Amino acid sequence: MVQEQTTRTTEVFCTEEGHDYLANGLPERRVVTVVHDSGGKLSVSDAVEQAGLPLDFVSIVTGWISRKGWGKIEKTSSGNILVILKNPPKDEDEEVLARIGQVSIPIDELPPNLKQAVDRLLKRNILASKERTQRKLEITPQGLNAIPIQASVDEVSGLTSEMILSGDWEKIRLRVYNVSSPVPSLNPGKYHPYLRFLRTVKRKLVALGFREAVGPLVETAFINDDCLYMPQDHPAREIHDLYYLKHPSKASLEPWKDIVDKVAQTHENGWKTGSAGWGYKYSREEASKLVLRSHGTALSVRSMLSKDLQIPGKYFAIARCFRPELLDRTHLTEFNQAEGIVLDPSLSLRNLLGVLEMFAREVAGADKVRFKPDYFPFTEPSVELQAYKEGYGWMEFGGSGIFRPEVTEPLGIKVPVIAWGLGIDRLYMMNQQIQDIRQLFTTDLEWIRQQKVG
Amino acid sequence: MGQKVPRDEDGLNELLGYVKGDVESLDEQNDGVSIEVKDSNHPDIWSVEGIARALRTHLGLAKPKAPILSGNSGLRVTVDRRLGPIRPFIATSVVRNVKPSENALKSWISLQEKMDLTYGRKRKRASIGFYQADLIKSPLRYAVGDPDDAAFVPLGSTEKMTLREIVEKHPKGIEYGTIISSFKEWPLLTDGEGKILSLPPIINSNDLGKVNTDTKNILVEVTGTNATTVGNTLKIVVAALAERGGKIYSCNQTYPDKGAKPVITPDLKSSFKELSVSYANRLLGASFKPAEMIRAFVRAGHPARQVSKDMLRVESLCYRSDIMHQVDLVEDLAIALDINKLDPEWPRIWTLGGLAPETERNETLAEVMIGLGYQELLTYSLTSPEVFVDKMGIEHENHVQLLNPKMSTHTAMRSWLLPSILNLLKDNTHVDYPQKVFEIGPCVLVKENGEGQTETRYKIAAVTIHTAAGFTEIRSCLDTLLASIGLQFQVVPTTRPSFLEGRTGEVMSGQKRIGVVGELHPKIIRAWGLSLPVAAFELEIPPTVVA
Repeated sequence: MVQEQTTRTTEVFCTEEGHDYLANGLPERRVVTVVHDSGGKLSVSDAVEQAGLPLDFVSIVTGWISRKGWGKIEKTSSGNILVILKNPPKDEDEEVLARIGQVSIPIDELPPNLKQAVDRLLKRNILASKERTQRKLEITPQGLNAIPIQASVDEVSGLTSEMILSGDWEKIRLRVYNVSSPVPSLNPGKYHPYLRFLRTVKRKLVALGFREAVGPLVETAFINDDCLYMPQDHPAREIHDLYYLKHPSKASLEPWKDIVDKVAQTHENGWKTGSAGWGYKYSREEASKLVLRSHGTALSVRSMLSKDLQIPGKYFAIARCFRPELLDRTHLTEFNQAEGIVLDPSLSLRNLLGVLEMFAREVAGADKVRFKPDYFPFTEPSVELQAYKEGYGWMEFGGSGIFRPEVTEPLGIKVPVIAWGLGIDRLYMMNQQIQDIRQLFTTDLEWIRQQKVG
Repeated sequence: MGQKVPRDEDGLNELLGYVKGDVESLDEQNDGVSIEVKDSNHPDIWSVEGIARALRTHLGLAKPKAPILSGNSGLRVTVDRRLGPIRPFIATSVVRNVKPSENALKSWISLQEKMDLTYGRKRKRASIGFYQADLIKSPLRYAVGDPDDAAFVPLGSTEKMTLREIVEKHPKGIEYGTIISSFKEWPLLTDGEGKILSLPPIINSNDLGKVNTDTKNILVEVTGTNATTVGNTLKIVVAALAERGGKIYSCNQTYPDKGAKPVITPDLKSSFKELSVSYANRLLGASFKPAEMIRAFVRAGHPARQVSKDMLRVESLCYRSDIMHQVDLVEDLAIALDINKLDPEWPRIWTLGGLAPETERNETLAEVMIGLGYQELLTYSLTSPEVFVDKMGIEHENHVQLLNPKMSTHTAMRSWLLPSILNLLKDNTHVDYPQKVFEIGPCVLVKENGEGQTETRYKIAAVTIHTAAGFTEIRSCLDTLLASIGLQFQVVPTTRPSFLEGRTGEVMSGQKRIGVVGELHPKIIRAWGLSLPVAAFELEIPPTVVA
């Protein structure tokens, strides 16, 4: 009674990798440009590095450059050299990428001469394909005849209010449904799967008596680094490890005026802490530079400076932090850190170990733990936590230390402070069996919708 | 070290724990291992020699032995007063009897590189040079030279270059030239016969500055801008050379200050700190006896003795530049005593836990949106103006810009949330519609007062996109949301560049503007590669995060 016409079209669209290449160029294009701009000859590994690609791209890139005839590879004693005489024109792969852009296009809409390029890009996982099914239903003459002219009291599809109230429900027969047949799927509202995990972590920390701290994403270098006794001339504070702001570039240290001098003197000569200090000239100008918060420990500084600070106290934060990194399988440029502090006169290294062990058991569900000496510029002693889980083996789960007196004393804290941090992103990836850290911020709505709740 | 080390990763890792080291990779073919040392303030263990020395005492194979001077080398160095504002400090030493193996040389050069980079702060604070001592005649002159006049053959080159040419063309000059290039005259180290040894901190001479496996006597030179750092650097390097059998000889530096006595380097004297036994026990949470602590300190490379009931006198050998405070000693003690032997104890304090009020508020909003059938999203707050300005049809927005972005897609902090959501929706045109999504996330606003003030604010944005998406639908959601939290509000007509005129409203709470609600303009819809109607709202809800 109903005629079904199904048309299936295959559509192609850019994968996450494809979007990267759309914005920044195919890896072989990027490498060729670097080599051409460097005078036409460059070692493969240098070219790959300068193009901002990881070194495991070397064989991929040399393969495509050879195949596309974009240049020559010369084997020398010191390694392979790429020779690129001129910048090759845009090729079919790049044309396909540009055409597809941000959307999803049916393969048939692309000119036939680009089909090979599409296949190549599909194989390279730069594009992905999806079947789109269009179903057209049409009532046949037979179907039309089957529609009753008069509503019979014999078989109805559903109860109505009238039937219920009038009592007619006794006279009718309800059409039998095939309760086993599939029904339309729904897309309900749900929490984001990774945020749900973070909420769980927060709940666990609250259950252990920790109070949440929050703070701004933009900090002065004073709070982000100086207060943590990181010397201003340390190479780790250069442009490779911190995002500095161009606009606005500085902020006033006025809110911290009571402690700036103390911090400055501590850096220069140890002030009253009993330390030798770093022995350099402290710069207030450097301190007022603005950065994107690079670690959750900046929030611990704010907690220690807060007028609401309680001692004894246990504080935590799940802080969004930023570091200059290229996005890849193991690196994000924007990520979450779980960090916090414990303050009390009675605290010792044994308590530090106790806190770490509790986290390993309660947050990571570990079966056993072990500790290794570690190093952070702002804590001494410092300890690395390794957690063992049946089926997973040993994994590094976090680090902790007792803040150096050079950190706490200028801020007016006179008790030992345990500072701790947990690798919760890695824990999430392990639990969900995710291999690529970019998945945490995925734009794949289908993946987000499909994640299980329990 | 005096003993065979395990060859497997676990065995090595256990051993390296004493020096905060981890096995990074094993090179079975060459019987080598790549070690990552985590302490960036502990230069004396950044070499094979240093690690062996530390492990030797930890394993009880030997007692800590201070390096000693075998005598004065007779080498004198005069320092020119003009170096005062440029690079005033120098420390030298002659180490005799070396004849290094290939591995030893590699180790020393690697130590030199690491120290120059980290401890020497990319050579600015201190830099190291090695020379063939036998080719050099006393007295050395550490003075200044004319960048365009003085010239020599730099290491790795065959032609003579002026100082300026070196800074402009030689790779090391390009890398480190800025340390000295702003001055009119540059540091120059020459010997008693006027031969140029080096252009500190850039590069040595090819003739005098190349040490090889035949070199019997090495001149170690350190120059820099901080006297302590320069002195420490020299001590650490000569101590490493001495580990391989070298004999350390001192040199005399004469500074231009009135009637100054010559500074004799290296100063291999140990430093001493008094440490209270009860303080150490309190910090560790233990009750070790003084004798146990002393034994542990010896294993950690610190000779120690008891001077009173509660006091120990702990000696730090000359190369321990990292001992700044007693806590540094207590950590060494903890490592020697093995932290895994301490009994972990949860702190005996009671504290009341809780979420921040901002989080509680955000959770309430999320709960309502989910109840309305909206899927929660998570997007990057670090994005680009293309996303939240250009593609939204806006001409200008005062926002946070990065000085050193690494990707063109992440150069600025978003000032509003809706564009990030559209940025996600554009990747999902092949996914089933309707798509109803929301996010509660941070944005950063730049305050208009120009004092470099920024404010981090959480916002909530919701978007509905499907064939029948429209104002009524999204306004219903907005009303439901605000009614649930008991907020009084009105919606007044307004125009916004991203939205359709006649279908856009400003959300007001009293006199305060708290958001926008409306249908997206088709130009914006197309700019994002979407092809269905889009309706959205974005709100700022107090309390917000205070900057």
